[in-house]
Amino acid sequence: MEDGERAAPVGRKWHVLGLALLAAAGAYAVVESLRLGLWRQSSPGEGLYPFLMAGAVTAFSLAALAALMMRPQEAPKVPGADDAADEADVRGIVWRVSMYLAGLIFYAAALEALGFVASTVIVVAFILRIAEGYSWRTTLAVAAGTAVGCQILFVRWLGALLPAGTLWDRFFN
Amino acid sequence: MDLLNALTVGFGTALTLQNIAYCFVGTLVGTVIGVLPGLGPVATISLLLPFSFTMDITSAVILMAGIFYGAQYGGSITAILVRIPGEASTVVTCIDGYAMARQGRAGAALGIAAFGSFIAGVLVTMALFVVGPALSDVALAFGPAEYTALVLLGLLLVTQLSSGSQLRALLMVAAGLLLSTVGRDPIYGTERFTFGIFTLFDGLNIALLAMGLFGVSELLMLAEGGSRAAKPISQPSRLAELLPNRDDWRRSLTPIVRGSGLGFLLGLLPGGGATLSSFSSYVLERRLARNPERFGQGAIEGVAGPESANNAAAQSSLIPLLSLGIPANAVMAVILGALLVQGITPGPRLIEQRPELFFGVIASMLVGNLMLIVLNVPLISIFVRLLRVPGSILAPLIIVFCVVGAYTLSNSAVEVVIMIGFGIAGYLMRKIDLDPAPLVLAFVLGNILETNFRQSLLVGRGTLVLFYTRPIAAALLVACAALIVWQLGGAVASRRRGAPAALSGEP
Repeated sequence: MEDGERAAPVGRKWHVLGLALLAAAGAYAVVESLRLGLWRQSSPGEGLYPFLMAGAVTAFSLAALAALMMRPQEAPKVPGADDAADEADVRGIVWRVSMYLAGLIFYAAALEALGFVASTVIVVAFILRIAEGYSWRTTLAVAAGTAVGCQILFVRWLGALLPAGTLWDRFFN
Repeated sequence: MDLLNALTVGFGTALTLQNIAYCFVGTLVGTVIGVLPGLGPVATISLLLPFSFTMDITSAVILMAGIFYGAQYGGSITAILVRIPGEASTVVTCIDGYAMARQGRAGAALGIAAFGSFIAGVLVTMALFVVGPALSDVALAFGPAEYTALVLLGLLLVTQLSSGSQLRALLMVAAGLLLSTVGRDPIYGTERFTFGIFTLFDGLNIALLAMGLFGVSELLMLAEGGSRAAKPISQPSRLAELLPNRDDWRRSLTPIVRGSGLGFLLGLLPGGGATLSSFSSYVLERRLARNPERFGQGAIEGVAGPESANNAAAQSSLIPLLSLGIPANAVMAVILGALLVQGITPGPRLIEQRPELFFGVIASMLVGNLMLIVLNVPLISIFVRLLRVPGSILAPLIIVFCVVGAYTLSNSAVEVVIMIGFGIAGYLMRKIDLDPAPLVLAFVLGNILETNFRQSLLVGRGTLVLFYTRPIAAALLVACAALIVWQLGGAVASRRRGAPAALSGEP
């Protein structure tokens, strides 16, 4: 798929880790399902269906892991001149993704306290200025425009109930 | 009632000024609602329910039906432009529709989605006039065992959606089915996997799952590449250049007709629905294509078939409601509520007692589909202009979009946190070549599968007897077995030829 062309590839160890985590999650769900009970007086219990699905998750994860392990390993990379550039690329990717994640988490945490408008301005400005490096003029114009535009679209026109902000209520009401 | 009388009554009802106005409002609102993830047609129609009590019931149903099939088209707009499915039935459109947009062909994708939906709407409306009342009897033959087998077949077909490893696709299907068990047990009400979180008592919301796994994860993928460095995808500016060309139509016409037929049949089945229709159509087109490797890379058939199928299913799902009183999905359930409050009991006698309601609603769907074309085709050039906005500006807008969509589900920031969690999970899954599309589709079907499977076991007194004594269920399970054998055979043949095996863990 096209995503594979754009995304930075990850090494085999991450595939192993991901599949192992899924297998562990499946195993946990199997145990929980058994605790819920598979059968209740000649009728299926609430744990039967999750047990079957969790078992499938565990089995398929382990099968995918086994198939991955059976594949021949790639030859170790010979250290070369491009390593420094590759490392810088990886650091850049990690930094940008982290900034976006930080913005999202702040948005979720601050939405009800600061209100929709204030938290939207802060998050959009943070991403444009810190993560993407736009000028302050562009940053503030887009941030303000986004907050106001969304307030009109979602709150005024569609009647959505977005938070005004508990901090505002405390100080001004 | 003969066909000529039915057409006269139907169009005589649908073409009154009042009903044309309601149809227009319904399709317009539906399109807007479909574009906005989190604000689905069920919530919108529920808001209208109190107003419907004072309206003429035929007009009310026309309005609500317009919202429903309008939302199917609206959902495809964001699926194509920014890979966020507005509705569950447009998840498959994300695959090739978005790929087309990235190739500068967003207009063609939007155009074929609009025209395909329109053609499907016309074909289904005509079919409903002719055979609708008789076909509702078919729905009566489907019991819990048949639904279980149908959904199992559908889930096996879902693995065909993934262009990568079949084994990893099966893993994602199983994960989606497991996630569908979060919440209260449908029969005993016991909490399962809620971890004491109140928001999870009613289960995970499909909108959160879709926005997180597709929208937020796509955002993080864009951030990787340095959104600012990415130049906007250039798109044609003239409407004539934006619309599908002759080659697009040559490739799309047959998938549109096939999708219409498939959607019509699956929409008749309660629980069949637009989602099952759209991905069944995608799998069918991929199987029939001469060059199946084009799917996932911007094959227009991957948009034409599913978009026609989901619109056809949305319309034909009115038949089980009107002729049997069985709502095929949540939207139909709300419409059923509107009918019951006004003292109308849907069922086999509705056609005789209220022919203007039955045939008027069917005729209005033809009018509504025409309105969708008139409304949306001229807007294609405006929608496509969104893609000229740099990705780095679009990214924070998508964040706001998704957060508002998640928050408004139940006015809780916990939903936003859950969505972000799925977004991170979706991003990490895509990094290790686990495609989220099968997971989302399996999640949608998970509740139907569990409820019907357990009912089958209850009726069979704890045994699987229903699955091999009921002919339709048995036939569907044989089809499942044949599909598994076919896939295994293909994998073995590939391995012998030396190509990467489909069932290996290879990305």
